[in-house]
Amino acid sequence: MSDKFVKNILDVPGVEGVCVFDQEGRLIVNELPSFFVEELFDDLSRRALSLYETVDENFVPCDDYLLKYSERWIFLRRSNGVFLLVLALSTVNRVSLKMVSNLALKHIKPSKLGSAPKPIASKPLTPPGNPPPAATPVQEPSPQPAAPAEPAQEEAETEPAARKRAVRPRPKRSYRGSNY
Amino acid sequence: MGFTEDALGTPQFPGLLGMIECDEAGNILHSEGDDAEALGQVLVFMHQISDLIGESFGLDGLEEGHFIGKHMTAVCVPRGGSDLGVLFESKANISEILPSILEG
Repeated sequence: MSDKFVKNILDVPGVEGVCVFDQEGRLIVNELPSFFVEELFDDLSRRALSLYETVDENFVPCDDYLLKYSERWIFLRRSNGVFLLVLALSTVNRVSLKMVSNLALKHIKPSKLGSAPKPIASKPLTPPGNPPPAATPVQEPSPQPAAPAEPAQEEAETEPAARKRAVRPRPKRSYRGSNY
Repeated sequence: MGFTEDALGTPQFPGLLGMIECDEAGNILHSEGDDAEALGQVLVFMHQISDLIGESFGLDGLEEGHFIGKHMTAVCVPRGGSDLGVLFESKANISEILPSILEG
């Protein structure tokens, strides 16, 4: 999903490269020109983040920065904990770029990127192990408790509401009888 | 340039909130407007860190930096030995006004 929106930015005439990084400076999407050495990214993100932090704390919070150099312009945008850096020619249509990058910032969320997938991926692994009822019965019962394990499965299979409904009314009737 | 002038003949720029000029050490050389001094606190740092960001791409020094907030935009213009910071309302036509300010 995020690639689609990043590519839309690259389609704007004059845009030469885009990259996205998170609040911790981790590179999430890198579509910068090949002359940009990725090893320099640590410095770049650190500097960009320090600019944001300093201005936020000592001036007024600014989400957008436009840095004009003689050869190129750099656009820095921030939203939802995601930082977007666009390298462009000075001839770029700023209105188009803003519209397209608005969409990108709207749809690219930290939860969908970099760090987020890891916890999400680790959760599905742990839950199967954590719930004792599912894990322990399968391992322990292998020698004898095969029987208790089966009924558990059978119960799960026979769970169709029709049978349970047929069983439940009986105790209800007896309770009514004892109460009266 | 089509800008109005006050009684003293000073041009009035619509949307201009203030301006400040600082030397490389951060000392204020000139200031106009209420919020301009707050900009002065970060102006030199803005310039220096923007230079470093451009350096990552092999770009020469910053020519103009726009710091765009919700209600105002601050523009940092490095000049030889000093930095000029100009504060605008968010809807000001900066590309039209800024050259006139720099000429003046």
